[in-house]
Amino acid sequence: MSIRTILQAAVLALPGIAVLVSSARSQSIWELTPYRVKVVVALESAGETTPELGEELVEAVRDHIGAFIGAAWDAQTTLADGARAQTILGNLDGLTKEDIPFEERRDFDKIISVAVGSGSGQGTVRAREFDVQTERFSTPAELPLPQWNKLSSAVFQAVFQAFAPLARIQKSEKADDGTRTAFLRLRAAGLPIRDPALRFVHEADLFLPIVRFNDREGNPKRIIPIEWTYFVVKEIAPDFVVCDVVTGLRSPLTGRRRGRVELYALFVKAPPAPTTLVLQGEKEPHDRLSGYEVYAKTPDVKMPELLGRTNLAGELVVPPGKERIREVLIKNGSSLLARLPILPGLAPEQVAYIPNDDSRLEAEGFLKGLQEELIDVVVRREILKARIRKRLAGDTPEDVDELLDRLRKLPTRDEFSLQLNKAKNRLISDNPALQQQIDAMFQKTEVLLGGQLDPEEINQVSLEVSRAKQGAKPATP
Amino acid sequence: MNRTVRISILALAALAAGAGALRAADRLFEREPFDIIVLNAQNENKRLEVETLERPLPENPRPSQKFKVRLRENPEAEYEVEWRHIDHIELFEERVLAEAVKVVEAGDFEEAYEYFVFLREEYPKTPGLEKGLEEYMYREAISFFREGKHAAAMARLLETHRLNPDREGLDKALSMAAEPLIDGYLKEGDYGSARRLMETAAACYPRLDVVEKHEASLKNRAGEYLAKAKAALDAQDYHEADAAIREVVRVWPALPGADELRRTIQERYPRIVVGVTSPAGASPSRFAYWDNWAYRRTMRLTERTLMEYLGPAAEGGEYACPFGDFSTADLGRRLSFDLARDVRWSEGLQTLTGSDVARRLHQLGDPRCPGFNPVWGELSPKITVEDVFRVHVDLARRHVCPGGLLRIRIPDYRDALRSPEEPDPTLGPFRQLPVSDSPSQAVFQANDRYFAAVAGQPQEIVERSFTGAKAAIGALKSGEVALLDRVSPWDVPKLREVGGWTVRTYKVPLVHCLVPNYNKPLTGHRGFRRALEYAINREAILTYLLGGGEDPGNRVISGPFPPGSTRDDPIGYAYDPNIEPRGFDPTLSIALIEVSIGEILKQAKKQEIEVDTSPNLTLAHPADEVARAACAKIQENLKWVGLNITLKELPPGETPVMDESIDLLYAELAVWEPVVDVEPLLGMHGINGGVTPYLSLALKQLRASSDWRRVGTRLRQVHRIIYDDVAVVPLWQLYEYFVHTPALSGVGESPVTLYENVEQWRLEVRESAEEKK
Repeated sequence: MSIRTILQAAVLALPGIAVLVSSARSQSIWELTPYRVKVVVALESAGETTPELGEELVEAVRDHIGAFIGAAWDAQTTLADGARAQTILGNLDGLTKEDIPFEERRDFDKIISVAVGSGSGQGTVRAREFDVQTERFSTPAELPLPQWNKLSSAVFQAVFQAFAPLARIQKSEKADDGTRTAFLRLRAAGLPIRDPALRFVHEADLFLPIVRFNDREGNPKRIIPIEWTYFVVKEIAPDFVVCDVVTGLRSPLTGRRRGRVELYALFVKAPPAPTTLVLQGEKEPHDRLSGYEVYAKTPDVKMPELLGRTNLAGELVVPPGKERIREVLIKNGSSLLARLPILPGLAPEQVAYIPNDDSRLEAEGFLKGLQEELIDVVVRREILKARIRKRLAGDTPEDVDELLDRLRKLPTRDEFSLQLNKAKNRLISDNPALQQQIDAMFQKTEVLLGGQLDPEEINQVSLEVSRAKQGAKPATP
Repeated sequence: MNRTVRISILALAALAAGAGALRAADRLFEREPFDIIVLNAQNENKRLEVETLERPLPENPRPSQKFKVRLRENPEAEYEVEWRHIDHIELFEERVLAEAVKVVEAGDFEEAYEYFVFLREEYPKTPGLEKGLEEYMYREAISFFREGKHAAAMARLLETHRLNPDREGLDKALSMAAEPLIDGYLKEGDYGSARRLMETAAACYPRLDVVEKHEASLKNRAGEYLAKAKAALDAQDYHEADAAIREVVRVWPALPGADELRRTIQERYPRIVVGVTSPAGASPSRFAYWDNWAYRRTMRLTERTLMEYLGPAAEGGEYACPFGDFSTADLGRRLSFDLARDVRWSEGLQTLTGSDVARRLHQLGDPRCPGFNPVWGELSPKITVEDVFRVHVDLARRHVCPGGLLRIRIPDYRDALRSPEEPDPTLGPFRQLPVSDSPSQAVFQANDRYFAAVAGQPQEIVERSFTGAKAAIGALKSGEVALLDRVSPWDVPKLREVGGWTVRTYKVPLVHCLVPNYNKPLTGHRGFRRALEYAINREAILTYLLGGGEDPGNRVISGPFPPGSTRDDPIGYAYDPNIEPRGFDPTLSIALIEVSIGEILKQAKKQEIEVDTSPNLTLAHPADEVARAACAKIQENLKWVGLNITLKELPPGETPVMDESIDLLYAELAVWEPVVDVEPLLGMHGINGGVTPYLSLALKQLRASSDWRRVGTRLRQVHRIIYDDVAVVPLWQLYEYFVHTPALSGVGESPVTLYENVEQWRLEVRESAEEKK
């Protein structure tokens, strides 16, 4: 057992201490602590796989790790047997925390399950990591196996691909232009990787911020990813990994957190697959929000692209785009409700809780219809007035009665006001913020209405008509 | 004022000399009529053109007798002439006839026709007219015959016969003309026309060779079919017997024994032919129930659904389950079906069980299954089967109209092992035969395992399609069809006047509208859609469609729901009568179009995309007469506001489905249960390809409403939003009609769909005078 392993064990044995020790010291421990990695290989029974092959394989993989990774991993490799092998081979994608034995979770940081399938003709190697600190599985890595004599190399590569580096979030900063930067401290960053060509983290890689709430014993009470927030690696400095923070939240990292809280960032990689976005109301009972428009914004394109509307179950499939992280805008009518970054493929489904905006939307719909009707009436009124005056000018005042009648029958300002007031009493929200918006919309419409459909205009036209008619009659003595 | 002038005859002749200047027209009968008096030799045989004399002329006038004349060139002056100076008088009509005869002799029959028409109308008593006409007819007949125009030759010969039955050689000529005509009809299988021609020829010459020859041949052929029909009847092969006896009727209906056998077969194998103008097509889409007349009509023949709509009732529609009893409990949250034990499928030995119904109800609420109904899914139905035939559905909350949601067919889930050649099992009363004698007809044969069969019900329904109303009405007159479905509204007043026929109105109306394609730049713009509504003179078009007929139910509407025929008509529960249809205002429309195009271009510029805002739109419509006529008028109306409309008629029977080639779709929607129908029609995946957030919200609120009071309020809000959005351009509500002969009974006073009472239909076999011909 190396000194680093002892140090790590000491830290784990005293859970509360980690957050209390000085920054410099904790930094040195974290960066100098290797990952305790356990690789569990399950071999599918076939002609090529013999018990000897299995033993040789785990040894060869261990050798590969030693040769290529070196001190950064304190690795054990083992062959899965019996039920565990069946689980890994048959359900690697569906592995749960409970599929990982307690002892392994206690003694290791990373448990990487590897399934070697013989398939028909060409074999495959699939690997998936379980990160103990964040209790998250990585996206499975898959490699073809064209030659069985390259098996150990293929397994090592799959293991390396499935491996998700873990970092601590040291701090985050917000610039004047609103952009945010996060500073991450990578575990084992102080330990050299034996193969200089290999690196755990590259620029533009993605990390997912995760908050771990511990109890007194250091066991997790809750582990939750900070939703709608991703770190994009911008720079790999000696002490920190500097990341751009892409987030849909106002303050993703600065919220006040009580108790024993650890902030981690876990490397994530998403396959090119869609994610179903589910919209639910912010408040209980979290109604599914259907009919909301979902747009995706592309950096070089001015206008966002309409992906669709959520269905009756409040769902909409977000496919992968040009950018790995898609910026998704949620609109309801003319109101922008949320701006969320989403990494399609990372999870099959992602739920967004957003304010239920229905009462404002209902008011918006009503007012839009009313305003359009108002425009139509105003235009019709102008057309009729013009036609009447044209006839008057053409010396045919007797032909204007029907037009004048139509003009008088058009809806009046009072009628519109009545409709507006009735709706105002009906369309109310128990959410003060929404009610404020609704009131503003009504006020705007009232102002608009006040400047139109002046009854005096009709009186004026009527007067012109009667004058013209009188003028046409022979003068009385 | 006339004045009488005594003047010498020569002087009179001198006055007439300048008459040539008056002859303007080329053809005599087109000129102003005048007579010619030819003076005797003493007066140098001068010819006086005078205004027409009073007819008839005296037969033997005294030489000293005078009569008054007016010269054509000087009609103001009246002269007296003594008969002794006159050699003879050439009357105008005699001269026209003489000219006509010359035209006939010259072989210019077209020209001659006009002469004879003139003479028959103006001077029918002209001596020699009949003879001249006879000659004209005969000569033209010969000419037509030589040109191979046998039908025209025949018509002329028949007219010749009428004028002179004793004309020599006419019988031979008639035979020669009739022979190729009869052969032609027989070759085409048009026995009726052949028989009528033979009868006509025989009426002229009873023992005409050509008639006797063909009559014997046809009787012989009909006799063979009669024997075949008898044999099939004995073998209880009723379909075959019916087919054979129909051939007898077609070939020689007056064959002794044919009527009797026909009656026997009809009793044992009742077969009814229905004329349709909307034939059933082969492309049912998910909108077919609402937007395909023929699909709805034939569905009742080939399917029974779990719940069936019987018509509007006090709260929503009235429904019944044809397979057993349906009941609700727990304030509408528990639905129960108690299925009859003998509901058999058309194939196999199985009967309908509770598990079939339960499985279908599960699928209806499962988003992974085709035909998923999200509204049903939202009710989270928990389905249990009790004692094989009882099904209970417990809903998370009450739905006001579960019957409307359950208008679904139940498939036979045990038919997975069925070979593809076997017909689909059905619970319906009929099955459509895969092939028919004619492409213009569809044959439905009774399902002999049908659970609700009634003794004496039709064993075969034949739907014969007609492209035009004229031919269809003709077929009804001739007895070829017993009922004509969906007659055009403009024909209804005429049809109501035909004695004996019954014109009936369907119980519930259709809502006609234009469905805009939301995915096109112009029709996707709300202001542009409003402009369309203002541009169409809906009142005028509706009046045109109704052809003067009056029915208070047929009216212009402001939304996609039927208002019904009166203000308290229960079907109008979703319609808000306070929303007036937008008036016809092309000037406003032009202004709105201009503004809309400006907005579309501005938005496109902002988005840095190109859009097509050319005023050329495609309007697709179903292949029926009302849609065709209405769309032609709409095309005219929209032209006035600068929009060029290309009409695209869909294949007969095809359900209109929006695609990118279409901007507007003429739809005839059966929105009989608005609370249920509005969601699939105009919701998220609706017929127009989109939904605005406002409508989407209103529909969500509607789904959450679980009592009729709230449903009514919400639906009227939906109406308002659809009106504001112009989600469809509402046109009018139209009731549909059908007409049947007195021989058909049991159709029902006012069915929802044609075959609603098909088990009760009875056709009385009548000896049709038309058929005998």
